[in-house]
Amino acid sequence: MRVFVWISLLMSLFYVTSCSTSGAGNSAKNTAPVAKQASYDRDYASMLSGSCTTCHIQGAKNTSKIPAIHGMEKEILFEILKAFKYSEYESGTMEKIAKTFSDEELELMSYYFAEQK
Amino acid sequence: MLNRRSFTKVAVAGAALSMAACAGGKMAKKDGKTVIVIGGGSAGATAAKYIKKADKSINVILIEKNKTYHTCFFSNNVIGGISDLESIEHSYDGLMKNHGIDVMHKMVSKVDAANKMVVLSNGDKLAYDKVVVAPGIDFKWDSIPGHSEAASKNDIPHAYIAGNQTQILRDQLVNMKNGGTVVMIPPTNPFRCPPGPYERASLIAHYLKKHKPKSKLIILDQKEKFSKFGLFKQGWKREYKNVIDWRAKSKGGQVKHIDTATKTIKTANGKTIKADVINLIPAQKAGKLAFDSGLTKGDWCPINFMTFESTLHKDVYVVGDAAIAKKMPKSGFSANSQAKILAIQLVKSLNGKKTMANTRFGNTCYSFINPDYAISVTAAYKGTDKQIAKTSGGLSPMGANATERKALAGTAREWYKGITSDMFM
Repeated sequence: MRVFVWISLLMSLFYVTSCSTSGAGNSAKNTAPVAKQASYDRDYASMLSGSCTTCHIQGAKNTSKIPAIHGMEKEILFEILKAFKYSEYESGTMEKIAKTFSDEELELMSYYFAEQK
Repeated sequence: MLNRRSFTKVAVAGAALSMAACAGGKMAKKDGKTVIVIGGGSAGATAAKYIKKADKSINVILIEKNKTYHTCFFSNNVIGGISDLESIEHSYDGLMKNHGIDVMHKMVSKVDAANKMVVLSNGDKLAYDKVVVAPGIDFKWDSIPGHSEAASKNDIPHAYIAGNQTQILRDQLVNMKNGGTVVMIPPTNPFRCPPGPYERASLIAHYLKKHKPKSKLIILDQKEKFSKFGLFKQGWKREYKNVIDWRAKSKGGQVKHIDTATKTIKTANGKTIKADVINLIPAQKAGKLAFDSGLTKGDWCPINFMTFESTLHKDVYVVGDAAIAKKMPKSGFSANSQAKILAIQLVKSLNGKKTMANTRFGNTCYSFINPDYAISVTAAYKGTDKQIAKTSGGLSPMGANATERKALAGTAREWYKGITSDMFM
């Protein structure tokens, strides 16, 4: 169960962040800039992301049981994915999916989704 | 390539392309490369969208015979009376408006791979640079002696290609008397959506228990076991102990003959069963177009596991249920996942680039025992030369409590929104 507490914490951090940035208004500069890394293998990350986009809708509201991941902060998404990967609790879908990827691949996907609006 | 010569020769394609060019105004150049996708289901719709997303200069034409699409996944909810047929109906407007895909509602008679032409049923020909064939499944009508395609039309629905067939089975259940006998005959392997018949049995039982409690559902299986076996058996014991009677092939399940007019079934162990409603799901093979285009070996279409290009014809790709994508199950999720990889590989190949040597896939199948009780199987896969190998995965736990089972049912409904958005929006 520990993974859930950890993931919930990270998720709430994400929502707080996204609230505060959207609260600052569209014209204001993003106070929590999305981590960007020009040099990462975007092509490969895009291929990997196909495993995510069947369920996670771009532009979805965060009321869904399947949360929005497009535009999520890279570090937060990366930590969540690792938490799923190393979780011993396997009741859900994400624990099973995350296990198939290397940490490097999870990080690539995190970069990729951070860039998506 | 759709050059000037073939452009004038192929009137229909020309008209279609110029129409798209006018409508979208986004067409990079009129003489761009053309990819034709045949079949607008989970595989075809996704492939068309992601090919266009990968390279907007490609003219993507999606040919689908029906004006709208009914998803097979969640059609069991319609059969069980939990939702209506409209809830699983989708239009192609999103693919046209959001992505500039040219959607044509026509019948295709075959792919002429030697001349790189798609031949329509009216004789018109469309030239392509690459073609994606996603015809889904067809049935082996003679898999149960006495059955026929004609009998399936109204009397003995398969309801395994969603739409009109789904409604026929639903209506038969609604019109059945309380105390009636429903018989389901699931197919031999391999077939579309391995847990599908058993989720359907669950939701039919849910309906009977609630509205026609004296009725029974007998499942005459043509197999010894099935997908998520333990989870389904556990769910049925909990919820439908007096409704569902499942019989394995060797334990009275094997059907010797069906009289479709009187709805009488004779089993291999000598029993005669008179049914009020029969849902016979015949054994399956690739859609007719695959056979007519010379893309099959046995019942299904061999492909390169890394690219989905047919091993029998160059520049022809096969994806979804019709393809031999072992070890992935034939499911809507698999088809969607495969189509995204196909799109990457096809566009790379079309643009003269090296295809990816590392590919990943996913599949999750949710099944409802009732609207508040779901189970699931999840797996991740990796493309190799010999197969699409499973790398991780597993079932939802047998020990899940009522809250967790209800939460999973909610996730399943959210998943439906996700995949249909990925396919059509």
